[in-house]
Amino acid sequence: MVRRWSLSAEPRYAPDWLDKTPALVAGVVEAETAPARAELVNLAEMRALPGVRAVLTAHDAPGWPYTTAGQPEPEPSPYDTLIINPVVRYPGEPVALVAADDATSLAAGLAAARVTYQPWTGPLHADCPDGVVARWLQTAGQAPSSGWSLVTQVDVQRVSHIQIEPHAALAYPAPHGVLTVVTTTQVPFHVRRLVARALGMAVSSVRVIGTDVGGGFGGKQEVIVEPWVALLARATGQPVKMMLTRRQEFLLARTRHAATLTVKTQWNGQRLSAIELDAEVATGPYGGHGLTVAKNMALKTLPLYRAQAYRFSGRVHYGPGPVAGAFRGYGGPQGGMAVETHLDEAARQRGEDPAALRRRILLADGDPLDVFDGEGDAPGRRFRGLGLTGLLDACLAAAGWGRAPAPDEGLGLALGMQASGVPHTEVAAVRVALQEDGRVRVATGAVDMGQGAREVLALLVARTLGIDESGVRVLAPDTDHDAFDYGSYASSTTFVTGSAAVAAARDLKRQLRRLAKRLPPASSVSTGWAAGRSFVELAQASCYGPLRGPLVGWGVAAPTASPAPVAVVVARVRVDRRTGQIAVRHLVAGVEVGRVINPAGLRGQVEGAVAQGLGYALCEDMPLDRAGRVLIRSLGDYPWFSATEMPPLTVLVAKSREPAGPWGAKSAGEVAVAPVAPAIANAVRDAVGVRLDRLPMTADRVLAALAGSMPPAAVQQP
Amino acid sequence: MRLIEAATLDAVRRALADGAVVLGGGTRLLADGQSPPVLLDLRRLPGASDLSSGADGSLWVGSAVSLTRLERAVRSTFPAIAEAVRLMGSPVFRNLATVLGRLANREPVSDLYPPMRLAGARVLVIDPAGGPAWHPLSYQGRIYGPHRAWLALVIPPPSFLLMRFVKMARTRLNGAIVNGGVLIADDGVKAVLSGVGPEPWEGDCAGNPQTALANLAARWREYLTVDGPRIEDFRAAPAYREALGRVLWEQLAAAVPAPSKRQAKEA
Repeated sequence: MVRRWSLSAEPRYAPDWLDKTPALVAGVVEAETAPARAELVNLAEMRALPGVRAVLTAHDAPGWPYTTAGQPEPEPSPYDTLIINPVVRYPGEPVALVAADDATSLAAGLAAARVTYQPWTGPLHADCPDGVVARWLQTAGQAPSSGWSLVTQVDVQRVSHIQIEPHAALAYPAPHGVLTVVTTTQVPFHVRRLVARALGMAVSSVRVIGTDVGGGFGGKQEVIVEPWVALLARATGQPVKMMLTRRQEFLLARTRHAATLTVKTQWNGQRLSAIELDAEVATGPYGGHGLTVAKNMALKTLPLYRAQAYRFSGRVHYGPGPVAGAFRGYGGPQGGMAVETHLDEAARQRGEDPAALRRRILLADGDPLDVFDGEGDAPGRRFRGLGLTGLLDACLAAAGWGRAPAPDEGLGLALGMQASGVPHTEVAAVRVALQEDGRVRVATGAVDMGQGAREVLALLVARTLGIDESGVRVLAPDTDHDAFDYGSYASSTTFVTGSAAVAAARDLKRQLRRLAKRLPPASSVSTGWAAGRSFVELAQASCYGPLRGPLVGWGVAAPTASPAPVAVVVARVRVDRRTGQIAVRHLVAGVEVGRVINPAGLRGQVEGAVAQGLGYALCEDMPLDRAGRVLIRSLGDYPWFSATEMPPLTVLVAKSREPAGPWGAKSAGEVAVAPVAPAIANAVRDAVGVRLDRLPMTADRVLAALAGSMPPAAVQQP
Repeated sequence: MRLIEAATLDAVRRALADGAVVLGGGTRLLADGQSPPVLLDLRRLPGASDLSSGADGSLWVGSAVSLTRLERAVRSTFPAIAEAVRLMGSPVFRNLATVLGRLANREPVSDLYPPMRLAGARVLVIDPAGGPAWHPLSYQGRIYGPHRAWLALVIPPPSFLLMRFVKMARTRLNGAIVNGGVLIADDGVKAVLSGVGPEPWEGDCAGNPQTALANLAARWREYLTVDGPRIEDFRAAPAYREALGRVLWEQLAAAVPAPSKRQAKEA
């Protein structure tokens, strides 16, 4: 399905809403240093400045702790922040929020701020004296105590989402005591609940209108700007709007979690008897998604391989720098870099072909998707990847695996898996309303952030009703539509919201069938579910005439299953031994995602995931200065892969069908990110014999590794 | 913010005296919500959009000429300049960014500077006190700084045997770490290399190209080994910049045709 763009005067993205809506403009007095107790010393002077309408400090902000992580209740993330914290924990954190008549007055107000800082020497959070905000220890099975073993370690960096549209929101007081927030978010209903919590309001007193999202990648699963404008709107009684600058995106928004991961495997002959993953995860000064991201470093890597015993231990640490959060892949890229480079190294040290080793231990149809939780046998809780081995073989063949490479060229293989929504917790409700002309409107809390949610939901509804998808309009999310949904994250939209959309369409179809039976015969031969009536005739009859009664289909999906899509990436690289530069000559990305609903959308998802994976592997980084301040200030500073730099990419799709998914589909949005970096690292190892154990694999690091000034890997053997 | 769309040189001088910031090179001008009180747009000035050859073969580049237009204009005459442009950002960026804007921001590693400097480019500069006057494009000159506006750049007609540009970046295009160019003429060799020190390194040597090239290579190697100010930023460590600097020279030198036996004997 091809997206049909239309020219419209209606605002579509949040910055369009902000441009269109007269409102006070809001800004942040950013902390210059941290951690420190920060105090604005010229508050009265600032409030008296012309055009300045509000200056709010920690003294003015509610004391309701909350989390900025948009997750369902009970939230696994700690409530460790306030709208304005009296102790600032990272440079840039708001010391005060300012609202002014216009940008000039705001700039003058922010420039006038004078802040004193009293250095904070204690733990970042008093209730966490050791700085470890979360711990994991999970085990399954019993490993024999002897055998060949290997330990490797990798360091992975924080990176930025780099979505084109920055975080932006508008808030205004509405009738009946309601506070309305218009925002670019992946999680409208979580925004509603968290804004209400932060401001001490009833959830139903907050309305959230979601705009189309100009890129999210998990960064808009965070509630950052919304409580700020909501607080200022409540304080001033006026509409207030705010959009982060690109520098603030680096400073105030979220990053992928940096981590140090250690993998240990133990082998009994050809069998993998035990695999252990240990993760030291840096969450920055606030906990957010740290706990669940850490868990997913194991959950998205270890079940890929059959072992007698599994062990995962993880610790999530508070620390300096920007706050880490949800990011496409959600732990998978970190865990994948650790596990997939480890298996490659194990194969090479054992004198085996890395592909053959993986083929021998790869999970198979019916294996559990969560090796620690003892999954049941319900569909979607065990792996259903009928084409996986074939996909692996096809990817290897497409990349020329086994053919002698050119000098300093090498091939690397890595696999990755994802989920389709968060296991056991998801819910989505969809309403499909029939219009009198036979078209339908779909109300959902899922968000189109460029991933094609609208197209997929429209296709699923259209196919179920037997109409053309051009007759289906998917509305922008609005919490007042009451189509409750956890939002678009965790690769959930097609599987979870899609299931609800199919259920709603089926409900509508049932009602139409009943209506058709009650109508007088349409012709001498009444065939089909509509008894010979056209869809438009039935729609007309639902609104006018003796059987009038508008029809609305309602569907809810609350799956406990979360079927896993799988990706295979094979990279061919050439390493320049003089400069250390890695040239990716060819990438093959194969995916097994169940039945493909939107082929063009799937291709886009894979290409985008590979581009992000390449940046993660080769160049992206967010270095800090000694004060913990992000050094990157603009997109010009941030080294990322642009479209013009993409290597030749071959995308392969396995034919399969997921019985638990809508029309046989699983998810596809995140799965191809994780294997890219380890595939490249493994290809470099193949090309020049050095094992890079730190991301990004910049040329200077490659050169240092080639010179032997950097240990090739933390490898120990008994 | 006040925008001045100057149509005369007097208007430009008055705006500069008022502290106006020139719009050209605006990639970072309005970044992060910055709002200069007075902004000066030079596009209404006569000749701002001109890209034309003079009777002597020189090329006039007005202040509003984009990188894309320049690249098309110099493909055959100055392939090294064209190559430098092609390695700058995306097509969209090259369509919007101006040649003068990219040069007027004095960056330690500017992709256009080495080939333009080697080509002997000159810039037409105006300030509140006087001008416009022509100055050589040089980091050493007084053409940079506030209260100055560049109105045009002129590239003299090509008078060299060969010019080559090489760039090494963090990715293929972005985050330039080192770059440089060499120019081979009948009577000697010039080189401009940047990315190691805070200002580009420049050298020239008269005589036979091979001998001159070897002479310059020795001076460049010495520069790399002598303690001096180095660029220290997050793009690359100084040691890596020096390492790339060595490779940079190798790649530039590789572009120079090997001497004939007779030339080698003479050398």
